[in-house]
Amino acid sequence: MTSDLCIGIASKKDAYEIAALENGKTIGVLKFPATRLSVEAIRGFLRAHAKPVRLAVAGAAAVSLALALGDFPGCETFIVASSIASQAPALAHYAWHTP
Amino acid sequence: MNSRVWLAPHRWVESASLKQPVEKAASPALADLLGLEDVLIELDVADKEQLFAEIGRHMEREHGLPQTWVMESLARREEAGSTGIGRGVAIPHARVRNLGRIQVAYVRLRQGIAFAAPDGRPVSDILVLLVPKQATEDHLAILAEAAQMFSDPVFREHLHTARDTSEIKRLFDSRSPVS
Repeated sequence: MTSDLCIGIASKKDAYEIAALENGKTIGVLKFPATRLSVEAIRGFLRAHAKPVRLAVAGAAAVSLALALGDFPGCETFIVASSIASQAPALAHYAWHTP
Repeated sequence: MNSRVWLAPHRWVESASLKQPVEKAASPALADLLGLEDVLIELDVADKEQLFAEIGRHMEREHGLPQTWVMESLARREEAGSTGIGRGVAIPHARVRNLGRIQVAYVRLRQGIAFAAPDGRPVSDILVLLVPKQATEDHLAILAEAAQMFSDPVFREHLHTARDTSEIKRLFDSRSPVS
């Protein structure tokens, strides 16, 4: 694990559920409405971190969401099948543990 | 370093994550952080640079944060990509070492300005966040709340038609989650 910040995003029909691990500490699940504004707000948040960020995304439209959020230098993005991890905290841990 | 996207090839046992329980977020609400004095309306600026200068002036006057430092922090973040999120809304923010608490301001411009927003529309609703470096959870929580509010066209419309700062403050208060 090389990132200080690992984010898991479970993309649901109406909401993006987000969990984060920062230096191994779990941050509670936060819910964003599934809107374009949310995507841009999350993107802005990720870019504000001047350090490597890891992102694991699963669920509805995971591919387009991952591509929209992870397109900046220093971001490693994992698109994860829901059968492997479907909840935001599990996705954050996935990003944390994946070599 | 470039960005990289992986299609996860690994097996993963979801229950493994349960070793570390998720803590309940106890973050402050946006409305609690936004003081009446931090609501600025009918601000007349021509561009981002002037906007950040005005925000810096405000933060120095109301909260004792150096104007130049606020301006430069916001401008530096903006260089990494626009904080315009579309629908005439921007959330300029900066993460700042040694800041005591999150500082929030809402600015309504007299006329929208170019912000390189994803939808190309000028921006006239601005929510400013200055966040302590160690406050990642609160930062995310405030963003989630802001996204919820600004995604609602009725809320945005009410912000535009509000006549004074008190009315705007009440609008934010009315959307604040009940704790």
